[in-house]
Amino acid sequence: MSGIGSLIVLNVRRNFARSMLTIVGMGIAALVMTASLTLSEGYPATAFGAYRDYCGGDVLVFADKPWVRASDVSLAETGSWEYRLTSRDLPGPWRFFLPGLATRGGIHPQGASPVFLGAGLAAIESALAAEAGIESVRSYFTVPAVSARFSEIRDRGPAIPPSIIEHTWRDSYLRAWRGGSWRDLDGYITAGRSLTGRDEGAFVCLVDVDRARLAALDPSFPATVPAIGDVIEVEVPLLRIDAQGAVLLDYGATRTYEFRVVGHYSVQTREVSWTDPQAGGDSGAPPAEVEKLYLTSPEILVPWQTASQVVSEASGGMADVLSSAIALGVDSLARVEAVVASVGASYPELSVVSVPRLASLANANWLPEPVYRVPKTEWSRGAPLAQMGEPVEISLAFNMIFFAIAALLAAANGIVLVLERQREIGILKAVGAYTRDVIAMILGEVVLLATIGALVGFALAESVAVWNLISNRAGLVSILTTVGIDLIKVLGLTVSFAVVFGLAPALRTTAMTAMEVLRKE
Amino acid sequence: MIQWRALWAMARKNLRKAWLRHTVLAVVLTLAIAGDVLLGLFFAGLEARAGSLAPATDNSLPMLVMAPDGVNVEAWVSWAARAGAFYSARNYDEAYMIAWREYGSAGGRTKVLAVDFSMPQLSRLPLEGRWPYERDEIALPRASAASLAASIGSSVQLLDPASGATESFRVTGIFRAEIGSGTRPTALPTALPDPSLAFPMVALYPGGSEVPRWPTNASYIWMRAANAASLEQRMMGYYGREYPVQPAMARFAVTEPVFVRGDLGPELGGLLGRLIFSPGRRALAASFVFVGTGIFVVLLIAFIERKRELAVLKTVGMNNNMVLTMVLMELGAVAAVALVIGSVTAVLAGGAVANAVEYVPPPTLKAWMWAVAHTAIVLVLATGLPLSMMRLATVQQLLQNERLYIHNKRVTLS
Repeated sequence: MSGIGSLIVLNVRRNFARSMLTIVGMGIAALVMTASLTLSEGYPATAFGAYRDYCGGDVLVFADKPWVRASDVSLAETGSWEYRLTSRDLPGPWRFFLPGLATRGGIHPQGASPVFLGAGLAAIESALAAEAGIESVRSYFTVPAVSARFSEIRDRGPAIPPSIIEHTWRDSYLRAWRGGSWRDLDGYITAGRSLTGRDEGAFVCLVDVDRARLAALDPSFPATVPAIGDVIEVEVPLLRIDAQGAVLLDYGATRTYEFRVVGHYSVQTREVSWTDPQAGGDSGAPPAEVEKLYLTSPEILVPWQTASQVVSEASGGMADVLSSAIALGVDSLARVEAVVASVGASYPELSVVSVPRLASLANANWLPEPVYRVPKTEWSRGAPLAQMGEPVEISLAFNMIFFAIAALLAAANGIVLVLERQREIGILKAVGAYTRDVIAMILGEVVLLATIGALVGFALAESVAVWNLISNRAGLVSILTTVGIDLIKVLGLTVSFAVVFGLAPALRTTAMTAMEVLRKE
Repeated sequence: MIQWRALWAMARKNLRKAWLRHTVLAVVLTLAIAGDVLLGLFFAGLEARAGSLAPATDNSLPMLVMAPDGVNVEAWVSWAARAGAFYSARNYDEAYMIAWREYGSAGGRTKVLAVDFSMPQLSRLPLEGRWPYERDEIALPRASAASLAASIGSSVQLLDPASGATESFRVTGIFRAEIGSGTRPTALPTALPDPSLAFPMVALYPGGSEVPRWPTNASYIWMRAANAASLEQRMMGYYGREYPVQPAMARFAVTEPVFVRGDLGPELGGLLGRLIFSPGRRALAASFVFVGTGIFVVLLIAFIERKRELAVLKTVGMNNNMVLTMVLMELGAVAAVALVIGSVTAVLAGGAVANAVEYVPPPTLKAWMWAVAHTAIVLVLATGLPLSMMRLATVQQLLQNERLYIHNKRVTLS
């Protein structure tokens, strides 16, 4: 037996170029498969952290269909959807990632409400909380507003009375945040304090300081934000819920609430870099320029009970929560896409999408942060995203095809080897080798090469997946189990493909007798 | 002079002799043709199904373009009028400059259009009451009238969010936002709702004034439905050049023009369908790589096995082109058989699948031609190298037991 082993190694080395081709082919197939097994399921713990902190969760669930899946196409009845522009009346996280829904529009099931409301919301929240892998369920509770006004007192020097300038935000709205228990935004407070549990029911708020910079892009925005301790007057339209359960805002009648600013927040999300081709000179390539980007949110964060009281008063007691989305926190970001798939399958009427998915798509289109220094040549390729469709998951088919191609190359290598060494095989047989020894030699070579390739590909892809797991603080046991199961899957598939395709060259040797081969020469 | 008959006889003999290899080739090609037709139809069916989620409209329709303030809509629309070769094709039938603003109403935010009611297409809308004429008059689509609980003669309050002021309007007419066929007389059995007309409308020139109520910043464009998508694309191209705004600003204010038309539902559905099912087509392409690799490998092995045979043939007087013709005849025969069996399988299986699955269309000539074209391209690419080796290798090279390479259109030894 050891003789065959050394023969296999010898053959691999004699045929170095072709052996490397087989290893590379198998390595690529194993890499693709490993990546689709674990890597596509999640992200490192810190990925898109600022967006997830701000949304209050890792997965967003929408009541209508900003995110369409293949199951929507196959389950819905033809002609049962309608085209509509999403109204700015019902603000929510879609304004950050898919702002085109307001200008480009999309198709949604007829009668599907774009918001969660009342008893339906409570039922969905408790059902979602019971799903596997979900740690927290937070409604993205927003209260639409007509305008938010505040005044700026500008000091004009000694002996001159200060001037008072009135400012108005037209795009602002209230967002409810449970002070004290939701601590994700505490790290983003730049001045003042965050909301605490004692704020519940009080008319206090947090505002985004980065809004002041928008004036540089559009002079209609105020170039300042209210200082800590200042008061913002928010005009809220009355709410009506019609017989079909649709929410209608009544701008004919409004109520005004005063909120005292207790803190400023600023959400730095990412950095972008670019090179200016005009810059640089004889001394060399132009240096890369970098800009830090900030989320720049129009949301005025208020305590949950306060927002609930506002909605209750505005709707005459018909509703106390108005949720444009539900944010789900998952136990491990390393398998967030698996959770998304299972929740999406359980609730086909909702659209479910992970925040990293939405954010990476948005970032590729220069959303959601405004930029101030990045030149137009960089962002002109972006577009305000509207309704998106999720490409169907057919990684299994891709994996099989990749493996089949790699195995075919391995088999061709084996057949060419048999053909080129007919004489050698004949001699082996003449000096006493059995057919099964020769088959073992050929098959062994194909399986050895495939295994080496698979291990290399697996190691490359799995190291990233293991980093995802480690960064998500997965235990050693669960990391080892995941790696072990993946390894068994990848190696099992590789070896079975190698054996099946390796049989063709191996069986060729059975038809060969020593005399026949030697006579040919 | 090539002896066709003799070569064909040799090819037939070779086909019989290496029947296993040629059967494998024929099966692979058959699967490629039939699989391409069937899977292609399956994905086309799914995409069409996504497009049909929202109902379609008639073939002539209005497109409402609402631009942000400050855009010279007239220049923009007239620039987009003509396109095509020699600037000859007309993109639309008629365009009317109008104005729009966003108001807050008792039924939520709504866009209000200021239009000239002498527009002939509007005059055909089913209308109760009359179109507005004075500054404080308004006509409502039926859905808005219902949500505002308004009737003819009653008044509605609209809040201008920009100034915070409330304006009062008297309802003079309630219309149905349905139109069939733009410039041609409406003759539809059932009128289809058109979202581009479903907006409250006021007079652009109130009381016969010469000055428009608001600066014009929108347009109603009537055109054939087939032109709509390309017109929109052309207009967006102009807009992106003349009024560049970074995508993120769309979050805060209206920076993008809004295009509304009746057939946007099916169009967006079709786009989503292509987005969702594109991996299916990619997998199909990947499996063609497998088919190509398979053919390449089979022919390469055939070449190695037939080195001695080719050497003998070339020694006894066959020239390179005769060898190539012979091999091509073998391949051609295999391809012809695969074509026939693959096509018959595609038609029969495709018909059966189309009967069983509601949204998969029956096989079409176009799908078949594409499948044949894909297979032919793969076949040509995969056979190129082995065939040219068979053609170009000299007797000497064929007989030496060394590896051969193609280099500078010549076969060389390793």
